[in-house]
Amino acid sequence: MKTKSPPAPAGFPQPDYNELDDDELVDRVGYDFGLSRRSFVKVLGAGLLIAVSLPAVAQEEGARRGGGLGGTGARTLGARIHLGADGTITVFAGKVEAGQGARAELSQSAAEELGVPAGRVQIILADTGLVPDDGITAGSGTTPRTVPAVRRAAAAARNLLIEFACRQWKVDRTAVTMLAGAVTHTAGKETLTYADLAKSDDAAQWLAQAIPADVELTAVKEWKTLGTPVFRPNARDIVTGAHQYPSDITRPGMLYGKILRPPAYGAKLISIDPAKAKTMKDVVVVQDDQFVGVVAPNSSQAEDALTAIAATAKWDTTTHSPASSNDLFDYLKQNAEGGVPANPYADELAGAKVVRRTYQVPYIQHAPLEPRAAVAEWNEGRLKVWTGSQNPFGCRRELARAFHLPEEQVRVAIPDFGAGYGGKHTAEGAIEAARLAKAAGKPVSLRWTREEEFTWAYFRPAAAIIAEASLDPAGKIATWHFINVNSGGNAVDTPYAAGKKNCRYVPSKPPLRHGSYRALAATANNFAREVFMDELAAAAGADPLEFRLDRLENPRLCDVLRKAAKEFDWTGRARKKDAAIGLACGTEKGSCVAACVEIEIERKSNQFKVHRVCQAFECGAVLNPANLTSQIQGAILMGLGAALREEIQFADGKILNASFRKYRVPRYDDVPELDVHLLDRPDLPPAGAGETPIIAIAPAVANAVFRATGKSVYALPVRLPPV
Amino acid sequence: MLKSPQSKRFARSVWTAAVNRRSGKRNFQLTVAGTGSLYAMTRDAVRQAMQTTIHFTLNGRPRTVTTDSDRSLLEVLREDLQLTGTKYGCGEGQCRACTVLINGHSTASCMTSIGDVDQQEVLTIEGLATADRLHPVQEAFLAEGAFQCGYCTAGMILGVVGALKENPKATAAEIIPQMQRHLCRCGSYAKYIKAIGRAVAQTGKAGA
Repeated sequence: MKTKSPPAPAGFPQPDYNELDDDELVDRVGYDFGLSRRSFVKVLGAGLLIAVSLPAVAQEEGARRGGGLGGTGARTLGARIHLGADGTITVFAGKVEAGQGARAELSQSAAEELGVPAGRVQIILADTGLVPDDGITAGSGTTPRTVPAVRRAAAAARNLLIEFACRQWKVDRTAVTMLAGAVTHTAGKETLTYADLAKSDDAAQWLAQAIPADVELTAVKEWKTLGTPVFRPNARDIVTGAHQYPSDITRPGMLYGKILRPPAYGAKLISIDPAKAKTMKDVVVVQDDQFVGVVAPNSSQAEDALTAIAATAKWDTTTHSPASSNDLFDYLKQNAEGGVPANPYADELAGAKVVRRTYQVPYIQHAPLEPRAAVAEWNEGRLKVWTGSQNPFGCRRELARAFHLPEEQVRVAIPDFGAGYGGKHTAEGAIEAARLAKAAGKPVSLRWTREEEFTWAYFRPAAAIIAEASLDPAGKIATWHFINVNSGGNAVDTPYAAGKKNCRYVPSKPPLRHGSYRALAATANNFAREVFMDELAAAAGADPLEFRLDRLENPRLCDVLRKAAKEFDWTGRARKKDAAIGLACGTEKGSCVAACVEIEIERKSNQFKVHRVCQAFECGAVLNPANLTSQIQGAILMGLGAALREEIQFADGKILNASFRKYRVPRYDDVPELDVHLLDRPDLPPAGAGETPIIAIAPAVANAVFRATGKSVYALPVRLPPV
Repeated sequence: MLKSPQSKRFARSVWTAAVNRRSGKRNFQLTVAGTGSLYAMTRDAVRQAMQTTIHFTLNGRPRTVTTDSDRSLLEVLREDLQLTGTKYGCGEGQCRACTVLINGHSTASCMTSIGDVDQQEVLTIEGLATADRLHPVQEAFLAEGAFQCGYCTAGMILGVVGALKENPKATAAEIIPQMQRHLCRCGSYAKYIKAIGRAVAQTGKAGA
């Protein structure tokens, strides 16, 4: 579904969404430098539009090659794999490593098909000057799209080696065996390796061929490397501090930048007086319409210069949205496009048991520990940027557009960075660094502060969700009406049997800049639906587990729910009347999750703590159980943050809790007893697992509160009813 | 609310003064900084005067820097000395990605002025391993694969090393509450807890 992006809040330039083809919900910052906006559209708009928009056929082909989500994939074998004459094997992929495990998973994928240990394969990720465009790293796409693409390429290279050996020895395929990256002539004692293949006269020609789509891949039962726990290849550099994150990149002569931010969303800059800052030693002041920044030899000097400018800045702050976090949900409903749809089954509710609820899901911030950072360097009109983004080629498009350059003149390199969780799909930090570097004539490093990241990075969209359902006399769901206002359509449909269903997402007018998130709207929709299911189970007088199992239509989802319930001993615990336990399940992006939780309520302070979480997860054939467990544990913790405390507070266009002091994310004392169960399904293709494990925990916590207190839960974060 | 860099730096000097009072070190900055408004008025003059030469021990070797002594240790390590293993995460001591050891104590380098480490011993993540041999805490974190993005890892490791320096016989159960301020947004805590357990066991063995 193509989602129409809502207008960005002012304070950032207005983006032109039609020129960016990424199919996702995200507010981009439409920076535009060089020509005036009007002349830009007239002179270059159409040309660039053609350059970035691929015809539908190319998109489909891209998905097959491993691109997907905007990527074209590798056009040739050589674009995916390099075989060195010295025996080195290098694999190129357009995905990024942000802690989710792509580097390990892709090295395993290549090693498996090449028949070598994972340590033999070097992976180059996300440098647009070197790698194929595999699209954005989002939507759990690396596992289902890029892993098969890399495996096909590696298998093709393996077949080339075998064919090469057979030709050399003038024997057929049955006379040779492939073992540990070498082909052996069964009769004689000769062997040939990838290095020999690389040195052969025809290697270049073979590598120029397209990767065959029908190349046979190693069957799951034959896997030696895939399916095993493999750690991140650069793990040692992480524990020694040697790995350079985007904020660590240093270039000769590099300066440090700072950007002047508006005092509120929607504020327009009227004027500044840069005189004082300009007198400061080694300081360059950059002003380009609403964009104001400084560069200096170190961050403190840049900060001083910026403070001097900020003291003179005059702003028009009258244009921010009237909404605040206090009246957000009414505001979103009032501004729903075309109004909030009425229940189409309203006429059929007479005499039935009807439950109606409205759920509130606030804005939250991804808050990756490394804020946005970029180093930009210009060289004879060509631009190179190192930055932390999930979207290397998307960043290149945004940079090319902002500076009116052909994409070939822009190179974006993404070092393994300090996490994204869906929060780093865009290029604003990279563009800002590039604008400063252009003015300074030297490389510039720009690192956003925590406060900037909390305020000017986009948020997970807030949602108001309206749920209304009727039960027939037998307790079956007769009608189901479920409307997500503002946050998106992921997992908006219900996996439970219902006589009639109306599940929809309706955009609204977001007061803050919003965009993707880990599992995006599935966190909101699954929360509302699963909490609502417990309300329905209570209305039907049924146990929440049985009520779900009786209505689930997806056998994989039933399996994970049964598994979590069994390991948690749901049935045994549920016999106790005052058991503070809750469960929830859900499916998204081809994987299934169920969680059972136990909470403890402290009556005196009227607060609760999550004691134990038992989660079962199934994502097809497991590629790397160690990494998968990390992803699930991490998703549970992140989901707990949203369940317990995370909520952006804002008023008058200002974010009121833009620090880790005021916006508390999970810490050591929040860690519950974690009991994670992987259901391996070697018979199913692997699905991505970075997102779905987050969607069950918050509703399970809410359901535990509902069960323990008898009071409905309507909102995230979950709070106990006042005593 | 602390908004301007001046007031942030003022807060930093107050904070480090409090820390140093505990460790018995005098802090000269407070006498220079004075109140916020006076500080702002005389800032430029003070700044010139504050181009100070600071001598300290960094990762076992003597180092000298001449700079504005009010800059954070974090900034000087990263920008002047190219030791980027110490990370910025929040700038207010709330995430501990910037942890270093000062005289063996786990300290937030974002809240410590470079002037405050004059004549002190600073250890960063780069100074923890010797030649090709990792520190046992690094070994433990590596063996458990105890991180995801890894941005908080250096700070986590130094936090544990600091806790073990304070009390070499500390159990994991005693160390973990001391790690409360160390934030891992990827939520790798469960694996970090395992790594801390392994580190304690290894240190115990090494000490035995």
